Amino acid sequence: MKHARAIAMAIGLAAAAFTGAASAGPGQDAIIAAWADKAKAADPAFSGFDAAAGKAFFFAKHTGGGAETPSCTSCHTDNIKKSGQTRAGKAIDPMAVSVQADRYTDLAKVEKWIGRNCNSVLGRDCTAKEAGDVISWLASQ
Amino acid sequence: MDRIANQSGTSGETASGDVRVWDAGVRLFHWLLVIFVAGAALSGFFGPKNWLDFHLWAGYAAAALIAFRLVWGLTGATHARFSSFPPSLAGVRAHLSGKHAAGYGHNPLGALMVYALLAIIVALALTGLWTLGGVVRQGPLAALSSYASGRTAKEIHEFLAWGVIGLVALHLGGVIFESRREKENLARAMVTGLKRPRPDSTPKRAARPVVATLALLGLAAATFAIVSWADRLPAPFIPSGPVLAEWKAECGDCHTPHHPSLLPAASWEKIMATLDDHFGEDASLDAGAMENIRDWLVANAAGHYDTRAANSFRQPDAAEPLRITATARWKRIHDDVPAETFKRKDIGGPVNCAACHGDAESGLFAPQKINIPKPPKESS
Ligand code: HEC
Ligand code: HEC
Ligand code: HEC
Repeated sequence: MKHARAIAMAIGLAAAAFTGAASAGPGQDAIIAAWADKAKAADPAFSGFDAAAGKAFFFAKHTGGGAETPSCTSCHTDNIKKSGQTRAGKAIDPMAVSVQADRYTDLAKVEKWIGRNCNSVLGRDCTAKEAGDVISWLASQ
Repeated sequence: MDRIANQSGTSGETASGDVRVWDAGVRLFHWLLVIFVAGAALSGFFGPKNWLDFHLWAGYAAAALIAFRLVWGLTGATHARFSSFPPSLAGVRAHLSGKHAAGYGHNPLGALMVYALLAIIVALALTGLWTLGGVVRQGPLAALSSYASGRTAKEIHEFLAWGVIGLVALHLGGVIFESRREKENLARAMVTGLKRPRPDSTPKRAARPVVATLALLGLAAATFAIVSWADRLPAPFIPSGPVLAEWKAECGDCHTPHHPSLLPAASWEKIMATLDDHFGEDASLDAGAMENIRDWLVANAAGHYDTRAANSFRQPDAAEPLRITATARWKRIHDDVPAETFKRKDIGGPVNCAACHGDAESGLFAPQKINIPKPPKESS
């Protein structure tokens, strides 16, 4: 059984590498799994995260938050492989895992920033689904 | 030319008949003092703040020279000795009425000028050290002075600096006037040490270089002992020691973490109570971290320190009490920094103190650590 799973994973990884789609590492997977638990708790019908929806959410212009921060891109810019900048002027490391390997590996950190940033951008907490979608997309980049 | 070539003798007379008046100690002292006082004055009046070290070394060097001159005034050769040119009002009166016979050494007015310059440079060194201790919070007097007393010392120091300029102007005027009157280039005499022969009744005294050296070594040792004692005095009113790691991490995520000594306790309480709407942004923390950081900020707020920064920003702006950068003092201090500089992307606005203040995190804001970075080359 154990072997079969390992082989399946190896094949999966090889396939991912072959198709060129970067996949999240084990650290990121654990984070996404934690958000999946939250999403399930909030909505029993939850069936998985949708990276494409997360991407759209990240680039969308939202209302309800701060006037200077209508979008995630306000600080993280629309190129997640480049550095962003906080409103207070400090550089923010790129968000894409392919350039910044330690992204989304510390649950407390992700929770802290999702909490803050959603409030700044949308004026409310993100749902677990919204957050999980975005992280799934970011973690795959 | 051969005057200079022949000046090796100590007997006083050279082959050309000129007489050795100023010994090497006096001449070296004179011209080095010119260099150090000029360096201190130029850097003090015109230098940017981060030239402070240059100013300090010029000042220390001038003070050391004065110490040498005071010793040499008691141990040098004939005309170096204070006893050969005692301060005398009667002498000045006689000189002004033309009755004073010019000897080799300083005339009575020149003598007064020497004492005035020695005294004013000593006073400059002392008020300078006091300013350094009280305002900049460095040097041997840091623990022994207060910011308020340092401010007073600074005013006196600046006043004395103008005084030195005035005295030097008078001194130059006097040298030119006397050179004309005596038909002898006195400035050159201070270079070569030689003057034309003339009647002079000053008793001859030999230089005592060994005694002078021992006295200077003694002075140096005493200075060293006093300074190392003063360095060890506790100064709880100057920020030192480690900062709270949690503060540095959490409050440094979006901007330079602002040292607690930059705002009063009431402002910190307010900031920490409203992190969910922090200057239009959510910067909330979990309760534990918030309380730890708040308690540390309040325990180290501006009221606990006596630095320039704490004194400057302790009184917050009435309309924006949470902003250091809103205080009148902050704006005045940064008057000369162009608005475009703050707007540069690599600086990131006035809140990022550390962009220009290498020691912002310590709360010290030393002048030596001020450096506006060169704009990075555009790379796209
Ligand atoms: C006001 C500026 C700002 C906005 C707007 C913003 N962020 Fe952030 N974000 C930050 C900063 C600052 C950090 C932490 C710095 C770092 O990790 O390099 C951060 C960190 C994060 C992290 C954690 C990264 C990690 O390594 O764990 C996530 C996830 C994130 N942001 C997602 C978002 C999303 C989604 C949005 C839009 C809803 C958004 N951000 C909008 C400033 C912002
Ligand atoms: C999520 C980002 C973020 C975090 C985290 C954050 N700040 Fe700020 N802070 C800001 C922004 C944005 C401003 C306003 C900047 C501007 O106006 O240029 C600001 C401004 C300030 C100012 C005013 C500076 C001035 O003089 O103008 C202080 C003081 C301050 N923050 C303290 C703190 C403290 C204390 C913490 C830690 C508990 C903290 N900040 C954490 C974003 C943040
Ligand atoms: C763009 C660069 C820059 C930034 C950012 C900046 N400063 Fe300054 N600061 C300067 C310069 C330059 C001076 C020296 C001004 C002068 O020559 O009088 C100075 C002087 C000072 C002084 C006086 C130091 C002394 O002993 O003379 C203090 C205190 C100070 N700044 C505090 C701050 C604080 C607090 C912040 C952040 C809230 C800050 N500065 C942000 C450039 C900057």
